[in-house]
Amino acid sequence: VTQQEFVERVEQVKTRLYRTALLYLDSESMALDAVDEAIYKGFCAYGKLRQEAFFETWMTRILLNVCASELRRRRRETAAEELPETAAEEFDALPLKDAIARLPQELRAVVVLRYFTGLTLEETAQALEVPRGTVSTRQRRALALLKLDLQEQEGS
Amino acid sequence: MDRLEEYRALLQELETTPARLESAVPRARARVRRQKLRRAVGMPLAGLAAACVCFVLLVNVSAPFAAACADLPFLKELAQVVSFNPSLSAAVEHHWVQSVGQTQSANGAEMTVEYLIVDQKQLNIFYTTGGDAAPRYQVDMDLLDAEGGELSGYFLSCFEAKENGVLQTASVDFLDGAMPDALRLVCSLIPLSAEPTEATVPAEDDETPEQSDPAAVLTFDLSLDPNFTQQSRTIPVGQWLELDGQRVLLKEVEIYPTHIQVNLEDDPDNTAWLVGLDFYVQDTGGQRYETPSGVTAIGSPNSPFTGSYRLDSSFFSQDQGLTLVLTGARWLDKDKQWANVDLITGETDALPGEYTLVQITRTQGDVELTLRAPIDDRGTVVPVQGWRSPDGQEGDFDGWRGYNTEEFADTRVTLKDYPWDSVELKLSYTRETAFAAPVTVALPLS
Repeated sequence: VTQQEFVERVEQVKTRLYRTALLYLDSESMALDAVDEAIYKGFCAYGKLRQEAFFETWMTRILLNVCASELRRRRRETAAEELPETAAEEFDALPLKDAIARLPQELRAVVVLRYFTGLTLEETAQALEVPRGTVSTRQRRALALLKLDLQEQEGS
Repeated sequence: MDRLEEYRALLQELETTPARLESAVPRARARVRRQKLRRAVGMPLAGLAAACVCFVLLVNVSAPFAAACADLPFLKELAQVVSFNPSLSAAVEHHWVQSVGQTQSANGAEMTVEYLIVDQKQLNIFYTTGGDAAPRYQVDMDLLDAEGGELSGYFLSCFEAKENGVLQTASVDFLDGAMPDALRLVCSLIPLSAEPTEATVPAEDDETPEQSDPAAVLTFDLSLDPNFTQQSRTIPVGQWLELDGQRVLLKEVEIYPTHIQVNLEDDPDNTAWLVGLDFYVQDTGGQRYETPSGVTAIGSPNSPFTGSYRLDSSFFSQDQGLTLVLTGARWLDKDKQWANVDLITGETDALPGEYTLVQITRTQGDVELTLRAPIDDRGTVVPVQGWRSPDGQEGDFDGWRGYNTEEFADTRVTLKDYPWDSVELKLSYTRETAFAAPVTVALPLS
């Protein structure tokens, strides 16, 4: 991937990256900072990306790492905010956006990537570096907790 | 609203993106460029420290200097501000000063660009702040071209913020090209409390206070006088030198009003890259021009070889018989650019010069490394500049902290959110040498 190709491709995916970061971090300014950081890291490393076909999942993985660092930092500063998976009735009571923000991180990642970023099951598995079956399982669990009955095509 | 309706509404809400997202890619590109430039620019530890401390220096009251100040009383304060810099002092002495006097204000914060000292490669901005918004301000500067477009290839150095009304300075070095005819200077004035007195200086380990938002962002359109920006002398040399068994080509010496720049070329067959040079230029009268404060060397982002070095300027001297005197060099051996560090046992490959790893501290996922050298053997640059994790990820250290005692000098760097048990450190250099006998080169008359 050349610098020009990187710039063109990242311009195409930056809105999706922002949406992902916003749902992950639940803050516009932090999401923008995370996208800035991810694009910067991508800029520093685009020469190592051999297959352009994996560009979006590669950038998504960088962004998720940035978001995870930010969440770790935030958790150090405040009490953990995630609700346990068993607190189904609590998720039910929350507005959807808040409920997503308080899902355990691994479930949140799948919901965000599948239903808001528009990645396929396969791409989500690549971005999270987990098997496809794991994505399916997490997807089912997350949707059940959120009481969100989505057809497969809405997430593809 | 049921969950499905909520989902569709949320999708709709996410269609709206903030305007700042539009400039995310240029921002990242500019950051990469700044990072590369920072890596390419050499600044001595003392120079970096100088940028962080308050200078209390007396004006050099030499006879011509005093005479110049007497002729032009407004230069007195300027003379005091540049007294630590021989090149700028000589420039003031020879009235090499462009007066500006442009004031901008907003939201109770005010700034005046008073004077410039400028040549083809360096712009020194002298300014004061004022207004009721704060007793002093941190001034974050950004340079744009005359039309407000992005400008690249410059390196900006600022000094500690002073009280309103006191003349302050910032310098901009143009590394890639020549000084433009005009510039737009954008200054964010961030309010600060009164200058700390000795009694209120925070302890070393205190957290840096949160930075507040700018009180005002002020724009200055500056025209640079071509009488200042078009003058320099170049002395072509073209002589190969052998230093520590390595060969470098001394190409030329450029003399600007604000500095001398010596340009070298690498021999690709060398086993080490030259990354630092101890040297000075001497005239026939014995006057020495030595390494300046601020930018001291310029390299390339593409190679560790550092090919351009700076000295104080001889531009205003009438003495044309100059000799280059090389007294030492700093090298990065090509086969020892990375040093492995076991973060469990503390075992390391050889570190630069006399440095050893004395402490590894893990705090909430971060790893802080303390590198120590005897105070007399400490290097003149930060010994490590980056890291590589076992999965191949690389990064630069955002900063470093130095602690000196009478016996040793510590340099501390931090690996942020670092989960691994080992790391490779990217070394700034591997060895520093002082030549047994200085290498001298008589520079042809220009």
